[in-house]
Amino acid sequence: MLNYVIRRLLQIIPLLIGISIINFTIMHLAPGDPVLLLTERNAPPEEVARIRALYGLDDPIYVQYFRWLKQILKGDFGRSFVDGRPVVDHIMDRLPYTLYLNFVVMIIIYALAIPIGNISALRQYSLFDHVVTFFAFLGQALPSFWFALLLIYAVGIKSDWLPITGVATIGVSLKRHGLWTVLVDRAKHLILPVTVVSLGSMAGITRYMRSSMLEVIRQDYIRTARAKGLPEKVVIRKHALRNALLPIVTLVGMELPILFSGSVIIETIFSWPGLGLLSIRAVFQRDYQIVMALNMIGALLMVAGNFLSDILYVLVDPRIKYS
Amino acid sequence: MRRKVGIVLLLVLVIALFVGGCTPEPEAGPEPGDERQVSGTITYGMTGDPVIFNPILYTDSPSSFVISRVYSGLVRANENLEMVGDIAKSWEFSEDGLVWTFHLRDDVRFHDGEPLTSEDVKYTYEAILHPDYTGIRATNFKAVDHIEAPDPYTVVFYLKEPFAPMLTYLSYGILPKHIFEQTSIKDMKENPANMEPIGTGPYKFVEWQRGQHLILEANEDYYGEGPYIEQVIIKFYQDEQVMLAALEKGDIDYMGSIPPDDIDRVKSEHSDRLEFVEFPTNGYTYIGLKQTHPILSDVNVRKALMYGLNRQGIVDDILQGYGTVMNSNIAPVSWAYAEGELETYGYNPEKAKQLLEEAGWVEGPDGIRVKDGQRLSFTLLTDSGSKMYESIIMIAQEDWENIGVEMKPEFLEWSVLCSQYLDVAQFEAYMLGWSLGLDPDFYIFFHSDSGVDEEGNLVGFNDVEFSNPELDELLERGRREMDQEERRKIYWEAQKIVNDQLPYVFLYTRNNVAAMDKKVKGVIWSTLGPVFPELWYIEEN
Repeated sequence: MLNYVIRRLLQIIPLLIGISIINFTIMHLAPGDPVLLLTERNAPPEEVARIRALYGLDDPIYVQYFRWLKQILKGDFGRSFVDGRPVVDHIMDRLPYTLYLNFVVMIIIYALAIPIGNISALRQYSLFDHVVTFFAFLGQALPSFWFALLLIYAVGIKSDWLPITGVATIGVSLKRHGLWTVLVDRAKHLILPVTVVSLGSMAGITRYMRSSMLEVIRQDYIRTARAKGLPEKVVIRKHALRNALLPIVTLVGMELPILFSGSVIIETIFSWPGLGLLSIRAVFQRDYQIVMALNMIGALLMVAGNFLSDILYVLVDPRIKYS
Repeated sequence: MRRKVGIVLLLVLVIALFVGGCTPEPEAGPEPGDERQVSGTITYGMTGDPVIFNPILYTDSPSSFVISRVYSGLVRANENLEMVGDIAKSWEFSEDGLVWTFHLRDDVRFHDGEPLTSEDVKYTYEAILHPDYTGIRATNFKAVDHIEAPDPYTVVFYLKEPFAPMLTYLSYGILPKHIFEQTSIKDMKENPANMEPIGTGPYKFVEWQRGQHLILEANEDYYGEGPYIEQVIIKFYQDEQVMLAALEKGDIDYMGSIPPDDIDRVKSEHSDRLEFVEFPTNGYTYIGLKQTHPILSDVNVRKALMYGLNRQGIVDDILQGYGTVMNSNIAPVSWAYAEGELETYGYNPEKAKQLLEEAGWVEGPDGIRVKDGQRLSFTLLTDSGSKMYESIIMIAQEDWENIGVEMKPEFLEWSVLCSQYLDVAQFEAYMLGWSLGLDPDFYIFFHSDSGVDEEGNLVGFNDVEFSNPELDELLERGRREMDQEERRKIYWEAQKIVNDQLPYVFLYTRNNVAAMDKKVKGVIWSTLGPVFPELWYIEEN
């Protein structure tokens, strides 16, 4: 097992280097040029050349790559072309909001999806199952921007109670208003975005849970448990549910990158200052340093998440062994 | 299990407390002023985030909005878009237009208490002229030879050649030298004062929560009249529809541009609370025609394209009437606009057909005209991102097919359109828009020197390669002439030539409809939007 872990960890290094090369190349091959975005549409060529040289963008691409690599290895993500601010500051501005929203969403999704999927499976083809299936597909099919705007117009404008955008009311602070007011204010701001994100992502996990449970209750050991004369409650809770949860638990590893990734659509509509908006703006402005930093963090989390999944498999499922 | 849920919830609460931070409250109880109290809050909505609060480095409009309140320049535009003094009390030009002397107010202080002197002005403009300067404004000051500050309240610009349009560029906010000299010109972007600006304007920067809001407060030591509104909050939205919803809900007091489709509805539902003001924009949408193209080089063909296109119909249908048909290249808001002097090219397909017949184009078997075996057909490029452009192009395609002209549209991604076609001046026709500066000078658009040079590089914006010696001469004179009345005459002549020769099919200029909460009084509306925000005040109902 230890050998396996070390081997997997070592594999990550060439993988990340490979990803960074591909990332860097694609970004520089894509049409568009940060210099043209910094200058006017038709700035004189010598002006463009001067600015390009100032940013070191006139060097061959491999020189630029190695410069970037050297800088990253020193732990420096560089500075944005556009405003000269360190990339780390840009990311740290946004990351807490993305984590905050995604964390709440994830708790709600799992807290709701697991029992719902469970009941759905145990009462397959019942009215409950059909209703849940219907809403699961509806949630998946509704375009989230449309649903979000609908909520804003139908709920937000009509009620004075529910804010439509932002994270908190300007001026509401711990010092002046106390803990309770601040918490209520924050919670109110969460309601609309959390509703939209959760509805969209719950469908998958509900269905996953349902099919996993359906598979488990057909197993021989469940029949054995029932044959032993165990009450149905115990059969389900102790024997079926635990086993059915296995694939769900390993999903958590896959959720790691998602937890850190911002949703452009949700952030756009609810003016939520997360990572999604930062990355989309960086891509449009060809702000290479920010794009590279975000891509590499994403890649690292993806790799780490996969790794975590594999390890979780071993931990929760005694049938699986790595050597 | 229950304990674990508890921990998770606690975590959520802790995160909830940390994000968002705390925001300062407006200071309570403004003292009663001599005439008018400094009180109240105005909340603006804005789409997109500002980038950098540096008056010589920024390129985006949210930054510009903040800069215009925090900084002040030598001069600024008034409600008629004419330049009036701001930090400069007065100024004079030498007879030959080569020496511009500005006399500064002596009571201007930066927000950190330091007085503003001619050294700050000199520093700001020398930074732009510096070879390491990373911004985009150097070309505006190409005519400047050097700048002198003979005493603390006098600045003199020495020019290599007269260049009248430069006055509008002297409105850039003046940087505090004592703060910016800590970074080299090359690293100016990294100066922290770009994020927490210290200027001389009517409002002081308080805080900026990225992606959320920005707060400014009244500068009590402002040298001019006002400000009367105590606090300015700018809320950032990423989507126009959401910002509109925020306006309707009352979250914001001002929205600069209501989407045309929603204007009538919002007006009917909210006119008790909001004041709606319609004003034209300083820019226009056009179809550029390559002047060296074998077909489009014939001015009669270009005129036929104008007569053959129902441009008023486009304004009525696509812009819902919130726009004005353009016939030349100076927007109606400019003081140099030749009102009533231009050919209007009203929709007249018969006249268009007749012009084409006279030019030798006869109807071919498929309805498209031909001449010497060549079909009257061209390709039109445009940005793929705009629904509006798409609809306009469909109308144009149909209208022109009626007069026997084939137009083949091609939609390209913005950066591809620029880098592979427009920047290298390779196209037959394209559709885009210009937004214009305050000075009517359009040398870079249509002077023959602004086209393609011998090596094939595009020098200015004249990508259609329009060339007209008479116009060249007028544009050169317009830059040298310092007297506004004389310049007006010059640009009247110049835009008449453009109106007659048609380097573009001119389409329209858009009208904005802005909404302002009625609690805000004393708003001064220029033809481009509200100006002089330090004079407005709040009267709660």
